[in-house]
Amino acid sequence: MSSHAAETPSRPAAPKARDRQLVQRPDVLFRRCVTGVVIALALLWLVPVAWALDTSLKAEPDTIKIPVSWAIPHLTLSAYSLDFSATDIGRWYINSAIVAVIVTVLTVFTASMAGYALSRQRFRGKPLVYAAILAGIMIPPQALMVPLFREFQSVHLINTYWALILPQVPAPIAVFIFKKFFDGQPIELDQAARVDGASWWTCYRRIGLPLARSAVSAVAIFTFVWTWNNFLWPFLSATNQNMMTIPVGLGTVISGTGIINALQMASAVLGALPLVMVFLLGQRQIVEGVAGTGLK
Amino acid sequence: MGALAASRSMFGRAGSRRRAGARSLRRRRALIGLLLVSPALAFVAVFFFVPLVLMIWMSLHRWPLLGHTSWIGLGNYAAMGSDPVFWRSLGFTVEYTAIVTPILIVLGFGLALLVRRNRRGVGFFRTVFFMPYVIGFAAASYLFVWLINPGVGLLDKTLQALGITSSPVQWLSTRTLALFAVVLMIVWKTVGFTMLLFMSGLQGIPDDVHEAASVDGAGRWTTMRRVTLPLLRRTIALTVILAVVGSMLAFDQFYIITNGEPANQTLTVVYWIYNSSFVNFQLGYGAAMSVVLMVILMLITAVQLYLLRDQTER
Repeated sequence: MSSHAAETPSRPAAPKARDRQLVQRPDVLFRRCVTGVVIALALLWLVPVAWALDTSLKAEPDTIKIPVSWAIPHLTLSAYSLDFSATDIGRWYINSAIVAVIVTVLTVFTASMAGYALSRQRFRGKPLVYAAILAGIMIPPQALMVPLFREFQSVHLINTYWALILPQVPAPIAVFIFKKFFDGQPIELDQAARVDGASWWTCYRRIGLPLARSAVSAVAIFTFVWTWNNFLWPFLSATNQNMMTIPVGLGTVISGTGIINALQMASAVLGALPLVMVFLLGQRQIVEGVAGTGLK
Repeated sequence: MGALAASRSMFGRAGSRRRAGARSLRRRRALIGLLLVSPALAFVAVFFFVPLVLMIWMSLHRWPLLGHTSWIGLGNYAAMGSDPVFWRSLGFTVEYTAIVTPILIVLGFGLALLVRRNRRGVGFFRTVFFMPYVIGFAAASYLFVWLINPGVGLLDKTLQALGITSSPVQWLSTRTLALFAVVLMIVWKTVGFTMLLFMSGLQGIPDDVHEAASVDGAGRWTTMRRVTLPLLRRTIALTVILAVVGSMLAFDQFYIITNGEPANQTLTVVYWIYNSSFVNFQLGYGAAMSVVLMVILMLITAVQLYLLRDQTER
């Protein structure tokens, strides 16, 4: 294959059609193989989700029937209706939504302002602030669970939205991403606006933010997904059924209801559904976000 | 120069009193900068640095969940040295990391190569591979708990149909099988993200480079080894670091899938910190282990930051 690629240019007089065929045939074969592998892998990748969906639509006795089968003898949504009547999943949905939305808004807001200031402003203590942000990136939140729990316990805020929301807001990495993003934007627009008498606040809101739309949507989507999925901290800080978020609540479906397979899978499907939707809607931003921000 | 533009507009309105104006202007600008930074800084301070100091403080105490705390100096750190569970969990976490990281890198890179060209339908495949990344550790873990269910799980049925096993496998009965089950889940769930990182890394390599290589007579394999991989050095480094940090902090998947079974052999460090602090109520000891874990991870992340900064300065 490589020898063909090498020889072709040095034999300009050779009969073209046959030659090209020779060069291309391995390529066509190669591509077919690639396509086959991709399809096989994709099918494999779909199995866990498809199997969960399949189980969730079965009647409970059919989920433990042997031999194990994909066939659904009695198609039913009873697991889903049971989910909403027998568990607090409705409440967990609301909690997850409240927590994820507020954390996302606060994160985007605070991180973009800080990133803007660190990129565009000169002020005393700026190197110190920047160093603090960078240091924050290096501290894994999982390592802080013990003192953080103690902190919230001492002010009696365990099992409140405060505990669920506030510690998830500081995202030094988001500040870093925004700073880098603004560093890459031309400063002339700001200067022009300043000449026209715009305040820094107006510059940030009217020029900085709109310019940073791609960074904003990438940070927002990732923050939303991370917060919705975060397990460890909500698991520690929300022990009341009615304060749990979806990932934490899922565990009580498993242990609380005995083993009801269809119900478990229905809960898992319901828990993942909003994220899949967010992902499908924001797919472009995610891909561009990974390509265009500091994540690369 | 920003200052010049700013001052002109200010003086346009303020008129006289130049010197006083300049000083108050500087103060004002400093104030605005601080103002914009302060919300983020406040969050980082209250929820990163306060716990950080508290963690170190706690690690020097015997600190039960409720009741009296007492200063024991470095006692918790000394206890760690003679705690076999801590060392086992650290060893297990490192082993898990060493298994997961290369799989994620190789498979993620392979997938990126497979789906990188924009062809008809390729978006569908990218979506399929990336989708598990967004559904979360908890939900994904529960899917696999069901998938590996001995007897009525799909995995056992498939293995038996393929003739690999003859009877249901008790996936959580041995350390190796339990680890295998978790690795299976984590690869399924996170490799899409690695794929995405590699895709964007590959996009950063101009086509001319590959053309030049093929004109020079390099085959696919040589091009890959001599051209593509060296140019992807930074992406590879980043994916390695992300995979290592993520794996070193693993908790959710083990808590849900293996529950530490069998006999606490699949405890990760974070899991042992959790158990010590919130099951055994030794918060001081948990804090001391957190300090050690944090130091290990800070070293890893320092490398990450260094690499990211290197990239911007180019």
